[in-house]
Amino acid sequence: MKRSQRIAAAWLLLIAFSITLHLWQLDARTFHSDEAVHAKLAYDFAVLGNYRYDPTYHGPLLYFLTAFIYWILGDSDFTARLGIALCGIGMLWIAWRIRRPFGGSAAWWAGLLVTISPLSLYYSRFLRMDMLEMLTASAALLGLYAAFRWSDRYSDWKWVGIWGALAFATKENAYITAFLLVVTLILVAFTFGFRSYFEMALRAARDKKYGLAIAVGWYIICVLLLYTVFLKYPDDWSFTVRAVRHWAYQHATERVGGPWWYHLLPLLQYEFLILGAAAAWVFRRRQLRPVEVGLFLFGMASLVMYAYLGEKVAWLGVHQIWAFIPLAAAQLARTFGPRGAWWSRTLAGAGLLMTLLASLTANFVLSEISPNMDRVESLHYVQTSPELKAIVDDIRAQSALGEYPAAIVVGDATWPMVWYLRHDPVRWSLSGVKTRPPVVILDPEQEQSLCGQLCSDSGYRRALVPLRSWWLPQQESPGIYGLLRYLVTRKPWIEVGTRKVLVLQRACDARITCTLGCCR
Amino acid sequence: PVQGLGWVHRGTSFPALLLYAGVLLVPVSGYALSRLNMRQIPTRPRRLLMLSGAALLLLVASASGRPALVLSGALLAALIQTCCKQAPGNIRPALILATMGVFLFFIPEIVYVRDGYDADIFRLNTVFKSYIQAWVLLSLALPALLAQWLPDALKRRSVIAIMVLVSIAHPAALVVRFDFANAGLDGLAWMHVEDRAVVEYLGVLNERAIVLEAKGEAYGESGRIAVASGIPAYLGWVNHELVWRGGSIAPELNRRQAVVEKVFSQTDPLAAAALMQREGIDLVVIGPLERRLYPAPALQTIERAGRTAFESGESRVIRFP
Repeated sequence: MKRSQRIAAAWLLLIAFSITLHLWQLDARTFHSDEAVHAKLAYDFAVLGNYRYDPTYHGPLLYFLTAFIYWILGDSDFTARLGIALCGIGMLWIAWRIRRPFGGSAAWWAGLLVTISPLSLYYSRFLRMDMLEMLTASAALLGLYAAFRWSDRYSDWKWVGIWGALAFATKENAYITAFLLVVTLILVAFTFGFRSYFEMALRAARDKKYGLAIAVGWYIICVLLLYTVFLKYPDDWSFTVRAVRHWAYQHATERVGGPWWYHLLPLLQYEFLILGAAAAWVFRRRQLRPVEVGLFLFGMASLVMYAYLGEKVAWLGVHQIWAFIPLAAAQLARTFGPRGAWWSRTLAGAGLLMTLLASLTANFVLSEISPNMDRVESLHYVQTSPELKAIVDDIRAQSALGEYPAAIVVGDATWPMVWYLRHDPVRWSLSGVKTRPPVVILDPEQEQSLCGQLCSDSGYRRALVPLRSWWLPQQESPGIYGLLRYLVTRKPWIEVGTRKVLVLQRACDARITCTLGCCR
Repeated sequence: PVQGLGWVHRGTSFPALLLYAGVLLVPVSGYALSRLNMRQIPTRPRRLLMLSGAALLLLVASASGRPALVLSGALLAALIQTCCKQAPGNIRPALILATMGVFLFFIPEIVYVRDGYDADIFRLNTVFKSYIQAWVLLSLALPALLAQWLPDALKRRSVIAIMVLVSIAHPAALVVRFDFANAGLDGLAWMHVEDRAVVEYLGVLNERAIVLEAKGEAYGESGRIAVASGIPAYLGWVNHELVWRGGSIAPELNRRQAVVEKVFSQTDPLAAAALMQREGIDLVVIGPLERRLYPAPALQTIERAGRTAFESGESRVIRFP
């Protein structure tokens, strides 16, 4: 087989592998409340044309993308997540583009790493905008690097502007990325001689002033059109102020806080291969190129920045590992290349296998979290419990039988139920209840408000069902044994926390079979 | 009637303007851009200039909160500049028509003609009367402008094909809603058969008369006999009278509404006859609508008060001398 054929075959296999991992049983896992919010907002956009930018739900691009997919393929749990899954697959295009300056082999390894990375794969199968941000920001930064280094065409600068606009229209992490980029450039300049690099930067900016202006022009046009929804809401032109103000407040109040080392645990548990290989590349090379130094410093600055930021949530890990991927890929290309040592290959092979195992386990075997399960992945953080799906199926069965309303849902269960039951007749309020719907879901604390209407009615079976479950390992120190046991068996050293909801089901109707065991 | 001009505080949303007139405004914008005559500027600065202009225009359109105003204003300025400075004689008439058309999209963003409509639809009459004319003017101008902008026949036909495809949504949506079971050219086919007979009777009456029928909301059945027969109504659509004649007519409209209520609730035939004479009402129609809205004893009172001039089924035309 010729070399070009071998390369083509390797990439085709990788693409097929990526497609399989990203799309297989994409709709199986229960929708997180955030996923339900994003899916429903995009649905309203597709069906009713209603969408307006709100910094709470991040930038508009995810909603445009998902609404477009609904418009083409219809709305379902699968199509809701499809856009983000395609972004995960699309990272292979980013990997392809780093052939220059990292070489073809490193590019392929980068593609493999981003495919099997547990964090990247999990959040490529999760309807949040983090992988979309990774894709768009990577494309913008790669384009900027290429435009400065070797390509100065109008179209190249145009795409820098467009990809940059898409990154800023996705998630506010783009502001952090831009800040980190500036910090990194300054640090690189200090590393290689500040004065000479500063003068070089000024010369480059002067030489590329037309290109930079083109990029800025296209950026302005694209962000304005996206944020204002094609000028439907012109007031949203000041989205930057609103976004920064909103998220600065979230940072200050630490709405979802945590210790500075919050991200280190999952990064070390799941991304040890990427971090380890990147460190090996950086510290074992005699001389690093500025781009390699830049990537390493950017990655380290990301770790510091996200350790500092007040909002601590699991998906932010994605934004911290991406700069290390090309470096790790370069190391793996060397390890598995002609000059790789046997021990290095053994170590890397074991790392690859363990990473793949961790990724498959977290995404397909232990993909849910529940107090009724004795194993848990720390990656999942907070997740809707799978027990809720049985309730959804019951309500849909009632709706199919013509029950109106098929259910009353209030309290914490509203999300994700608003997404799951969007096509079913459901009441979302307890006030003025005059009917006896087949299913009522409410917070346990609200049970008293039903008295006189339903709770004294012996025609209802009562059950407490887990709505959301979480495992927060940083709350208690495990000790060495607890930690090792967890790493090998995934048995947690502290209990899985859960929030339960009260589910009332009307006494058996001969027409249907209830899944909570109320029918004989 | 016209009650003066007012400043527009809330204009057309840009997507709405595109939906209505994008099929015309986009090609006109393409033409205007092509006439900017920047060929003497080198390629790179020219592209940058155009891009910067577009970005700045979009920024101003967004920040002003009035994108339709800003963008139509920019297009108008470009057309005026082309018309005054560059247009050869044979294209100038088309350019003037196009400029007037764009002006008619632009001006309702600045001023509106005050009439009787409330705050929610304060521009309704200004917009639809202005936009209809704008559509006609732009449609007349576009063929000539397209011929100058796109001398290549294939490109020109492609643009026209896209315009036609985009526009076809409007007539297609209408056709889909047609009731083909009742297709035909008879504009009165919707009428009740008894009302139809009354209309045919009244339509050949060779006299000046005033007809009274049931009172109701606009765009409904009220006023149906007067509209179809041509005999003037004592009271037609109240809101339209207000819009056409202004607020000063309101006391008379209120009075007439009270008279109609009184006529259709009267139980004394003599009083009813006196009321008709005082108000100058010559004919009263008692048809399916009147039987549905008013009590039977009142309708019988009217029949006793006057003389039945025509009947069809249960419907009557009662004449009052």
